[in-house]
Amino acid sequence: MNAAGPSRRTDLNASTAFPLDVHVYRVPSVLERPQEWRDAAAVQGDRTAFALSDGASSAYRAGPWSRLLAERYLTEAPDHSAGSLTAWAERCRDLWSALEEQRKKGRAQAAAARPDEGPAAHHRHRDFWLHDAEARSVAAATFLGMRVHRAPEGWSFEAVAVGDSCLLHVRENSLWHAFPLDDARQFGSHPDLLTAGAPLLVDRVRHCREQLHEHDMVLLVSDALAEVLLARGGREAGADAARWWRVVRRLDETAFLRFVTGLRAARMIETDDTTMIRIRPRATG
Amino acid sequence: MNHTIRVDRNHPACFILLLDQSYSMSAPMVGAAGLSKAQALADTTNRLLMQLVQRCVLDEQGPRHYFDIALIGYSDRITRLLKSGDGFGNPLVSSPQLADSFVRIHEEPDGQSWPVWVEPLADGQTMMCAALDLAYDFAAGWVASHQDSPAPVVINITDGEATDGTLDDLAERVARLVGLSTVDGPLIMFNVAVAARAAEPVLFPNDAAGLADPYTAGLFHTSSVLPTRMLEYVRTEADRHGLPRPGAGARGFVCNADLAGVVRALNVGTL
Repeated sequence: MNAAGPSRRTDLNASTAFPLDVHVYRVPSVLERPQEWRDAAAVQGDRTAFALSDGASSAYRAGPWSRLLAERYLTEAPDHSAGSLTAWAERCRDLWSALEEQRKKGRAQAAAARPDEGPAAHHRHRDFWLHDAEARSVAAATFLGMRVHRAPEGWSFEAVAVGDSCLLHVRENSLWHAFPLDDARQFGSHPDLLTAGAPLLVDRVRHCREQLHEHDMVLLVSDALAEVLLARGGREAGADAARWWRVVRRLDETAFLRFVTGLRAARMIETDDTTMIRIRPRATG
Repeated sequence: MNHTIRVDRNHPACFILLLDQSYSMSAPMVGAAGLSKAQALADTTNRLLMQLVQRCVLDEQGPRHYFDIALIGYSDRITRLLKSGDGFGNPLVSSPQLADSFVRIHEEPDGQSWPVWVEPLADGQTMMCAALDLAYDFAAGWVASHQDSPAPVVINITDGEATDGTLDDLAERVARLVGLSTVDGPLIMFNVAVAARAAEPVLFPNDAAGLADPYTAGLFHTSSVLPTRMLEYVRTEADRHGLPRPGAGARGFVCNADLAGVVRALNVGTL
């Protein structure tokens, strides 16, 4: 499994892996602070399952929560039925609670072991805000999971989504299908979220199933990039749309960084953590 | 640009709150049982400051520098209500400095609590024009060094008329303020006219027709048209609370504001 790692091409044994080329690219919100990345991307070792989760920008410890969701989607492999997904989300929440308890205990022990820092006002104030955040906040993230299947009639994939991380399915350099949002105007500032504080509401989960053709390209993308790709490469974008998909199809790590920072500089995209998993069936014959 | 830049440490926001602390603020606040306007406004401001800092705490490193803020109280004199900024002439306080500078914790009988930066005050006249002059100085200095940041927001909360100038004087000062801009757009001006007595609040109108008097209409005209994201937010909130949906061209203006109205205006202005 390749989870939450830097931009890279998956390096898997071709004989056991699905014949897909998979690349994970990311550009953090603040370039010099990659450790604050709140998105998570995960790719199953055999390239049959993928997950992208975008930690809510206003939530405390949203990054670790999004990583846990992405990783557990691969390791627990819930099928996409309502019962299986809610049970998976509950296990994620239980694990999160246990890990957070452990973390808080560790921090308290470390603080107790430190020599007395004295009553400096700065420490009192800082502790107030950290305790407040621990007591008040709930980690939250969007979630997008996808599984690829091989059947006698050909390849297909199924995806589930909570929130506005998007799957963009490109065929012959035009947008074939977008999920769960299919129009740039649908993005807002309050997407549905999968939170550590409440059970998953089944009516928030969107599903899709599609055939995957040999020359298709599937992108799992976080919201800011999805919004611009839908605006520039969507059906209403006209003749220029194909050029965008050709560019995206050819991006490598360096080009992706240049692409995203260029969009930011041109103010075409919000300065947010930007993540993309690109999946392309490998040409046969 | 049209007010779309996302806040981060390289692009902090700027909020300047002007609080009327004149004698008339000692009258009861509509919608806040037993509290004077001054007390209700101090409580509301402290809770707002708390929420603003909370938005900046995303990990164990503590509050991030996501905004700069100034609170200006006006009565017979103009007072900076927050500890000065970096000690090098910056009159605005950064979010980490704000987090580090509350003076006590207030606890309610029902268990709610919040840090206190501002204590209530109600005394003297209403030097609103002088407060706007100081806000201009602060905002002008800030935009000069934060051109890539979101446009600053100034929120003026008052329950009366300026005693140091006419409506035209006020309008002239606001025109100077909204003439300031970053690449994101022009400064956004909010006015909140606190109710003198129980009356139906008017939230984010797009038309001055029906406003009680020329002064109130004047405050409407000196309030900015809400940018799209703020308009979307107030419409969503209106739907959620069963309130009339603000129309296109809605302004950052609330009149006959009860406590809930003040809170709504502050929430929108500091979105």
